[in-house]
Amino acid sequence: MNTRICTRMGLIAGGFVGVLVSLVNTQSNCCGNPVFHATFAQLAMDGLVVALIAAFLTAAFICLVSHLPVKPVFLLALYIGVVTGVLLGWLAYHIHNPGLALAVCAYLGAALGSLVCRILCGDAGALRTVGAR
Amino acid sequence: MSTMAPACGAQQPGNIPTPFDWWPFVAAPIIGGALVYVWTNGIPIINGIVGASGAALGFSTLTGGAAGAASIATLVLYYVLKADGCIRSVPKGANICFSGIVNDTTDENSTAVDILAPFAMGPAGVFDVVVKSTYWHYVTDDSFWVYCDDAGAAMLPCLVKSETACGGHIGSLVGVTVGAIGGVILGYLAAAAVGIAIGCTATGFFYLLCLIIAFIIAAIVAAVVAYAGAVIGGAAGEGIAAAANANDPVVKAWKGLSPGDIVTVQGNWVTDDSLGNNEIFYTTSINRTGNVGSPGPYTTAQADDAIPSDDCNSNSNPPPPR
Repeated sequence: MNTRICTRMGLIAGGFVGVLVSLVNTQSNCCGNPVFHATFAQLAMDGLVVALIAAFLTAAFICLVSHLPVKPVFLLALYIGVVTGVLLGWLAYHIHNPGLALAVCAYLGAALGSLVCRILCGDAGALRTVGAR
Repeated sequence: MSTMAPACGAQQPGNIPTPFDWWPFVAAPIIGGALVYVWTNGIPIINGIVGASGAALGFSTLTGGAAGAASIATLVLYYVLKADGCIRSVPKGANICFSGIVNDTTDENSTAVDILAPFAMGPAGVFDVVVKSTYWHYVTDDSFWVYCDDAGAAMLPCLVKSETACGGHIGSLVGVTVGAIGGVILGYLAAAAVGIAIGCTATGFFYLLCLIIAFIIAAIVAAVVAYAGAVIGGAAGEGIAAAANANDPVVKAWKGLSPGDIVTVQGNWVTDDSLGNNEIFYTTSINRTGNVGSPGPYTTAQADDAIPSDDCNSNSNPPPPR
């Protein structure tokens, strides 16, 4: 499997985490609302929810338009969604500009996706995802 | 002209020359910039709607919807702006002529893709030709990969263009534009309604989760509406293109092909940018002259015997410059 698929999956998941979690910050600290101190766990959970939804929707589309096997693609989506969501949720929350958060988290998500693919699939890009048959 | 049989599979070390994959890196800043603008200034028409509705989530939700719609618009643009001869022209190669035996044909049409993702439709089909030995150089020159059949004979894949797919691409482009605008508005309204219904209170334990749900709803509703626009527009474009190109001679000739057919083929000779094999992208002419009358796989010797001469004037036909 080409590692570009992981890069793009990470880019999309990261981008969505960036823009949506950053919006949570701007909304929760505006309009006269009391200052809200979000914990890392809360932000990781928010990021995880967003990233998993984005990654699984991306995986579903990839399986629709390509001949790639379904199970490994969804496993990659799971791994990339967990990593990008947990790591980037906190970061996105602390970038107060949603556009900037989108760009930063999309690039970092692409890098994380590529990293996940290299760990799971090796340098040669061979599909050795756990459970893939 | 090659005299030794081509080795199957990988041909040379190094990376396949491929255009820089710039799409994600250009799309992200553009979308980010657009979101910043929306965040800062709003959208003139939408400002009135936001002000009139008086919803608590305001522009945050609108931006979430814009993100969802923009993601679908980017997805559609990624596919329709590929160099596939519809909106952008195909990579320019040499116009070549060769002959051989059809080893197999594959119909690339997928009903699921036609209906659910018309902007992602690819070529109508592809057929692999076991080429005569005099045309081996078309398979090997500058290639990184050589396709062979089960008998080890070198093959040249020939792609057949689908005008229906082109209609789907253009229709999707129009549809997603309309759908994205409607999607942002509907996403905002849906999220605002849900935010009020579930009562996101600033002191509640699940406050952040409550907010993120509202934003996800805005993004998903906007994305779904934009996607629906792309699908509806694509279906309309497919229908128009199918009616206008019902008598495409290349598609008709390709549909009539079966394994063992002796053919002379002309088309645009390029190197595929993912696997690195040489191929015909797209086929411009198929001339079927007979059938070898035996099941595949076929050998180069069979191709040489079956086609002692063809109308390509092969002996005076050196590899044209790329």
